[in-house]
Amino acid sequence: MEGFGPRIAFELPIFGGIPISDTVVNTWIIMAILIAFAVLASKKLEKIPKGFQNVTEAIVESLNSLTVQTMGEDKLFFAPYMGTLFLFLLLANLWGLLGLRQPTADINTTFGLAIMTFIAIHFFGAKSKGIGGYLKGFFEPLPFLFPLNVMGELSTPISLAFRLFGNMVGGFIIIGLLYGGLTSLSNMIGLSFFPIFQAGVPIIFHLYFDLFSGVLQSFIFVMLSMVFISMQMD
Amino acid sequence: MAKKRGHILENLSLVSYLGVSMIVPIIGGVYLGRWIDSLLNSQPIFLFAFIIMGVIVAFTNLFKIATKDIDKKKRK
Repeated sequence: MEGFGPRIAFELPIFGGIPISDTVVNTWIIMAILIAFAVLASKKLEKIPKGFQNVTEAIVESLNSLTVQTMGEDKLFFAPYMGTLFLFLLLANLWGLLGLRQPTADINTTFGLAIMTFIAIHFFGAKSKGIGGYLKGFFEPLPFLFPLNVMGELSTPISLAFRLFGNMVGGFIIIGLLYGGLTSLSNMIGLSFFPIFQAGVPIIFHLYFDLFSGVLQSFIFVMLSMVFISMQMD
Repeated sequence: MAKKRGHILENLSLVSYLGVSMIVPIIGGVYLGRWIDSLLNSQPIFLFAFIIMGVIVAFTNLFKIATKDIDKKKRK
């Protein structure tokens, strides 16, 4: 049996073959969906919203108010980044409901997102405090704690990335094993032509691992990004 | 009401972050220490040094997250 790692979907025929894993393909599909949604939603904007525009405005407003609540009025310009992050993570985590591999069940995706947050933390921290004040933050409360502070800061993206990755890959593996087990159970009682177990039993597991855990984890990732950035900026 | 709810969610995500934020520096310290030891052939000095450092970092992280809101109130 092959493992639970990302599989190579195909190879790009340039530079001697660049392997493209299914994570990347799924990410492309999610990107296409989000871009299409953004284009469609902002095409015909009217003064008095109706139908589709109402939904879009509700999404944008709730993301804006979440950003203001968590980071403060003066940091509303983070709302586009946080909103994109949230919508991408939401779609990516719910991707398992379609029976496909979640892009977030790959350490490369989550680590990439965490590095983006890490850069935002330090860039905006240095911007709002000034370079001197930002560097001084590493020598507080006592100067000899400098290596400890650096290590503490470096551990932030790692813990961010690993908690999301761990949750998603755990759910993915459990659901994969469950489907395997249920298939052999159906075969055992001679129902291979009518897989009755696979139809009903996994619903609860999908509910917990994909829906509940996925939504919660994407929310937590965004929330923690906001908290860390605003902590570094204040 | 809306503000209070946001606060609860924020704290909930921070609480669920505490566990991971404690583990990562310690494990990072173990691997970093082992790596430096294998480079300098000095087992187990750096391993122990980095484990102790990792534990201290883990607890300072906890302290920072836990006292985040207290600081804000004092400043006001």
